[in-house]
Amino acid sequence: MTFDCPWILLGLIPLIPFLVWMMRHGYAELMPWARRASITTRVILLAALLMALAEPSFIKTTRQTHILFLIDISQSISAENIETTLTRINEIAREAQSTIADPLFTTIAFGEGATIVNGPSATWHTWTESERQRLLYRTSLPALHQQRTEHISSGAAAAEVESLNATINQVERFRDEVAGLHTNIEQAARLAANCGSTDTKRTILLFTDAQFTRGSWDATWLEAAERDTTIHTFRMEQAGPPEVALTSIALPQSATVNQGFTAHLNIESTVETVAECIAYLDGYQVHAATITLSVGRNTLEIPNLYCSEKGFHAVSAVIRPESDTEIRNNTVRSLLSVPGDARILYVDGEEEHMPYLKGALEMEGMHVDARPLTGIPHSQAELLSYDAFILCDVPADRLTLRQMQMIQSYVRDFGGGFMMLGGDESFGLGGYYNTPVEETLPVRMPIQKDLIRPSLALMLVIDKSGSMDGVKIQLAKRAAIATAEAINPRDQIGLIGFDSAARTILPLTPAGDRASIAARIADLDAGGGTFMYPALRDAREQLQVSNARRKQVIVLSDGQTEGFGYEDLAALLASEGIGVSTVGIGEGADMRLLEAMAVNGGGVSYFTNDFFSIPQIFTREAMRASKNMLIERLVQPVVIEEDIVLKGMDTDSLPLLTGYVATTPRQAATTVIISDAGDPLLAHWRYGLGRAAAFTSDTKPRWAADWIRWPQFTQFWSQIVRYIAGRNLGQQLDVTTSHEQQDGQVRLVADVVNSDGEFVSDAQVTLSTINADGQAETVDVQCIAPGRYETSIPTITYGQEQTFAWRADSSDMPEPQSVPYGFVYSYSPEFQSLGPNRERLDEIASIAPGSVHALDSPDPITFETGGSARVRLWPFLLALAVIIIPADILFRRLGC
Amino acid sequence: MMLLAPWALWFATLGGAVVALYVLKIRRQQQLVPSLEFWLQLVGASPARSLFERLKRILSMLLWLIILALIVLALTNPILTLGTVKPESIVVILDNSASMQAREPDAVDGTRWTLALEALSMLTTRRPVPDEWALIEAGPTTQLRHQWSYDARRIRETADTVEPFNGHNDLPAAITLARQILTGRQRPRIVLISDGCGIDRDQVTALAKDCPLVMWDVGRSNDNLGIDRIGSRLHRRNGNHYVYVHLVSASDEAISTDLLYDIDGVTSHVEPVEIEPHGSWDKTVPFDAPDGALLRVRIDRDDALATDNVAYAVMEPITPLTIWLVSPSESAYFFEQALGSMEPLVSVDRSRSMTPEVYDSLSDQDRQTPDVIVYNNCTPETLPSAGNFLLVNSLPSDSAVARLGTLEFPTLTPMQRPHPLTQYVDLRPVRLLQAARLRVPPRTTVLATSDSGDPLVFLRETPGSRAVYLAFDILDSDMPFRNAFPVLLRNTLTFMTDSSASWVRDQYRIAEQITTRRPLPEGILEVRIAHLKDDDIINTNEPVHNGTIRLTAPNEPTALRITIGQDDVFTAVNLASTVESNMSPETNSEDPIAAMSLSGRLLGIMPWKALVGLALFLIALEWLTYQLRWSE
Repeated sequence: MTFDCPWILLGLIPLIPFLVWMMRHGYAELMPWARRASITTRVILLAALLMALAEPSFIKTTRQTHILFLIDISQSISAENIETTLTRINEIAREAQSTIADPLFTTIAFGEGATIVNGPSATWHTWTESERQRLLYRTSLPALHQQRTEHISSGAAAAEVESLNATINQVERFRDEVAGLHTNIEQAARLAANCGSTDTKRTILLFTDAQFTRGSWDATWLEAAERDTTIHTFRMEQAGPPEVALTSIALPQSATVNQGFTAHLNIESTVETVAECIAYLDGYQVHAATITLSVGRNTLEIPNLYCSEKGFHAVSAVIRPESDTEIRNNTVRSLLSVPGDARILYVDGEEEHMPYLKGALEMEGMHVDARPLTGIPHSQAELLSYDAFILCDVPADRLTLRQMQMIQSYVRDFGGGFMMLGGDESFGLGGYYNTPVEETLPVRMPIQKDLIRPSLALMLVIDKSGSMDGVKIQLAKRAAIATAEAINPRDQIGLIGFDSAARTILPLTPAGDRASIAARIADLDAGGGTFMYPALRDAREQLQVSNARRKQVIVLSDGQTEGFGYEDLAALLASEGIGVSTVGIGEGADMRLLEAMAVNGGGVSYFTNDFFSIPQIFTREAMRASKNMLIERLVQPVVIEEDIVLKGMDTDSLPLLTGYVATTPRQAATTVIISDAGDPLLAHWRYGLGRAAAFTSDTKPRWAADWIRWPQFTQFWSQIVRYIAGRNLGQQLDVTTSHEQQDGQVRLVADVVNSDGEFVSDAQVTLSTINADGQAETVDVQCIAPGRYETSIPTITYGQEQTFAWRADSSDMPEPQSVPYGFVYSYSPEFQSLGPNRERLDEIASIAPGSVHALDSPDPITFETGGSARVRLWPFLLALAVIIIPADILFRRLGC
Repeated sequence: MMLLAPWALWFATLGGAVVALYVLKIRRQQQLVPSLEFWLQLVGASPARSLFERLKRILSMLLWLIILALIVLALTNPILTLGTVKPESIVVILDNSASMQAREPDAVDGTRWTLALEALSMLTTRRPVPDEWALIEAGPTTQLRHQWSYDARRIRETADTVEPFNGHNDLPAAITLARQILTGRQRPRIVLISDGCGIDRDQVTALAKDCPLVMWDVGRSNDNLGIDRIGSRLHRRNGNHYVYVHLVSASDEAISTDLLYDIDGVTSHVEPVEIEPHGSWDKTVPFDAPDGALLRVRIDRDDALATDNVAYAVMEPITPLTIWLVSPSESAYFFEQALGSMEPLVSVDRSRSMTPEVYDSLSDQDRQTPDVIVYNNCTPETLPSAGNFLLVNSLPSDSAVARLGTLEFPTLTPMQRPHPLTQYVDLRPVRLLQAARLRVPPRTTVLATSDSGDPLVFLRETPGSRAVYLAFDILDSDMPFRNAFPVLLRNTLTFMTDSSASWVRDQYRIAEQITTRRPLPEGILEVRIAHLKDDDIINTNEPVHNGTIRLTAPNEPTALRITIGQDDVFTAVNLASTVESNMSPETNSEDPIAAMSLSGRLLGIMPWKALVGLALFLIALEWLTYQLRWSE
């Protein structure tokens, strides 16, 4: 027996003299027997209370056993297996309750997470409806959704539907948080090992297919074994519904351009079935076959594949079996890296003029992929297969924000080269002001020079009806502010909002007064109908009194306006020297009317479904209208910097140009050629890992007719393009990379050696990637051994190509080096394996005492009982005190 | 108020018995006394009996009723609520990682761990309401050390029994476990007592989900310079080793010290270290250790954390391999060419090419001298008892591999398992005319099969022996013309002699699980472990389960020699954790004392004890009034 507060027992010592005194002097009036009895009870009472305060306790051995049912409910387990498991657990628990003296039951469900479903409880109750719904989420969720649909269609009470919704949410939450996409046995084992009293013998009954995809189970299992825990394992191997899984696609580690290779598909099936298998290379179908699958492992070869271009190539395969259940494991993808010569992507809005530059570069041995403006890549992997990207005469609103961010990241994080060429739709005229592309270029779009140029009065007429509420009105405001920032500060800008009536939000104001413009534009809010006419009339009135040389109205609307006579009004404005351009947003816009207005008003009509392109359209239109960026006259280019791009060329008398787009060079940029007005014609800079250049004139007869005839035309362009595409030129380091999936993370390793074969341990190595939002992220990389660098990507995005750039920078290297790298994980490994992993089941049984059983095996389970429990005695002592009080009173009363 | 044992209220019925005993008249006993005395007593007492006598009896009864009520209430074990502070279910997580063993000037006993125990003591004694507690140790494993209990004293006693841990722990796992065991409890709370090193506060708060989390930070010392990374690599071409060491400083001051490199216990290199406040330092140093060595790196400085001042690395032996090629001369060409191009991995001077006849004429003792014997298109009667062998179209009778027939035009299908033998080897394009159809015994590592699943490339490992089999004649294939041939050959030679093919990794973290990389050979039932501790060697044996061992790395930086059959393999155990070495605690804006509403010590007493104490006082009072005749 032990005491928690033994010092209190010191209080018993005064009881002895008290007892002596009492025996001599106390209770003198009582009869002798009553006196003795009363004193005895009083001493016992005091002793009991003091002992209770000292908190005595002792350890007693028990015959208790804690039975923990661990149910694997991960996605690899069929509902049939779980159903059988629940029945089996019911049987085992009932049997245990009748045979074991003092059982304790707990049920834990696990998948990606683990949770206690019920218990610890001394009595076993059969499964509640709520527990069944959660554990059998595969079947219960469709049934609940069906039930809800029926309730709604039959007009059931709202409370009933609400209750059903709450149940669905609960089950869905359980599915997402507990079942998830993995089987984390470590978490489940830890919870089981730490659930319930630590002093009781425990028996774990594990129901699983042992297809564990996360966590290291053996450490916790060993620990459980050390605590004398018995683990009985039940194989969840009952045949589920037919299942076919395309488990992997094997490609060679690397292939060269035009080298044939074979892709090997591995297919697992639980049934004999016929399946259609289609393979794709870079999205193009390259193979289709109907095959008969046998039970077990099947292989399929797809021969004669080849890649005609360097870069990353995606090889994917899809299988469509006649009998199948899970569709998430029917597609696999893999990336193949093909090294090769430099490749240039050239996208030009004027397809007919592409041969000039394309031909020049090809004459210099470069491989040029020339595409129209629709050919801008949509994936980083596609862009990464090029060494440089040349963009010409493509307006900003033809690119999504994600594409622009991709270009920025391609240069900054992946070391790609980028160049923009001049034209009507390039630089500021193309609406690139304040975009990621502008940030990438060595020139900025607004002109800071005080040139003598025509001034502009620009009136924005913006639909602020109720349908514009939300993101559209916010973007319209942002577009208005961006427009004010983009035009010359001396130009004028105004804004009229219209719904059922017109309201002048901002009268014509000099664009330089940006603070008050922004404050006024902020007042624009949506609500009401759509009636454009009064707004156009007000715009006309205000523009008529302006002394600006150019006057322009930009109308933005997303709906059908009331009234008529708009085409005539636009024509009237045009006759007064006021241009009208229109922007329709969304499918509801009256594009027929807006186009007619633009035609009659001598402007341009735009339509967009991408609300985020509104600011680009506005700035582009404003700059187009202002004409102050477009310089069209004879221009004498002047070389102001002897630069590597002009090396070996005679630059004393460059041919004349007849136009360019005015821009402002960045401070960090190298401006190589300027116009006679001092505007940059050719500038370049290093942006992050890559290089970007801007040539503000063009490569076409319009502005560069003399240049095309210039004998050094091909040399000029090939040197510029080789310079910006320098990512893979002159490599100093040999970087070998690899990756492996490890417990939900991807571990990436790079081995870096220099050209002498020596380990490089002092390099600054980073890894860049693109996150789900399209933003570039840089991951810290650690040197872990001579020449070996390592990092981990915490999450895996299944089914998506993941592209990276290893960047190595060393003190003895002239500039950093970038190595692109990519991989794709098609789907969670949870869907990869069909059937139980018997080896691992045996391994579990070999670690801890216990055995492996078939799920439907009637073998009785033996439970080890025993353990210890601390018995606290203070309640018993207090109970004794309570009982003794009446006795004390009784003796005193009787003894009087 | 909440009663934990409401059934005890039944004892209150005894109050009826108390009242009854006072109310019921006791039948007087007849006693003869002198009449004068009787009358004097009767006359003297009669005026008082009417009021005082009645009060005397009521006072006694009231006192007994109160005493009874107090004890009955104590028996119900009530939990009281004090104002807005309500009893909670609190899981305390004790961070028991290496940085918690750092010396602290504020700690009575010297370390952050002591401060953590003091914080736990303050937490469990100064809560104004009785809470229910559970204790999780985030140490070598995440472990619930004490199940739910209202007895805070037991929680403290359990915490006192926790052994300090010198490694890196898994705090997110501890938070997850805490949340799991709090499921369904009213007013849950997690208290994390930690030095805050390496804790991503946003991450742990997110892991706690809807459970309020209080982070109780302890410790402020940061005078530490530690080795957080160490790695050794063999440069086969240069014939030496390179050792990379990375140090991290948590100190606010610049540090100037020396880094000592001890090879097999002898200091062989000293590197001066100058490091800025909160800076890092790294260096790669070459070493010549052709026979292999154990390297210990020490920081020559006493600081707050000693565990990271020393680290170990294993430098494997490097010797050019001696290869014997046993082959009929007409089929030896490709092997001779490939092996001849593999210097310095292969010693061309010492290697030999011989015909089967020459080989047969050698004595058994001579046959064991090379590092690897390649049998190409010839079958030795028996394999030497120990050694490394590459058997190409060769099947010794004692190899436990049975030949079942011949496969015509089999397709070579690599198994999807990463293995050092098949690294960078693309066997898929290799075309075969024919191959042997074989049956292999259990524990064979099959690396490539035919399309019908018959093993074509596989590895057999037995105690002291490794044998790689190719079940076909390379001249019956286009393999010699493919890159796969020299790469596979090089991998085979490297695998048989390189540490990357070792049974275990060359480095583990403290308390990490050590398991073998591949199944141990049959017949090995036990593995000997020699553990270097304070210049002594401690030997233990580990049983083999399912072809592997499961060993927990020691709780300190050290080196292990693991003897598997005839093989001795070495591995290092280090703290190797930047977050533990970089032990500057982050500033926590939250005040845990305010967050936990901690108050004076007395308010933390369990209510039943206070009730019993009060009852004791009233019993004494009742006795006093009785003795003084104020009650009866």
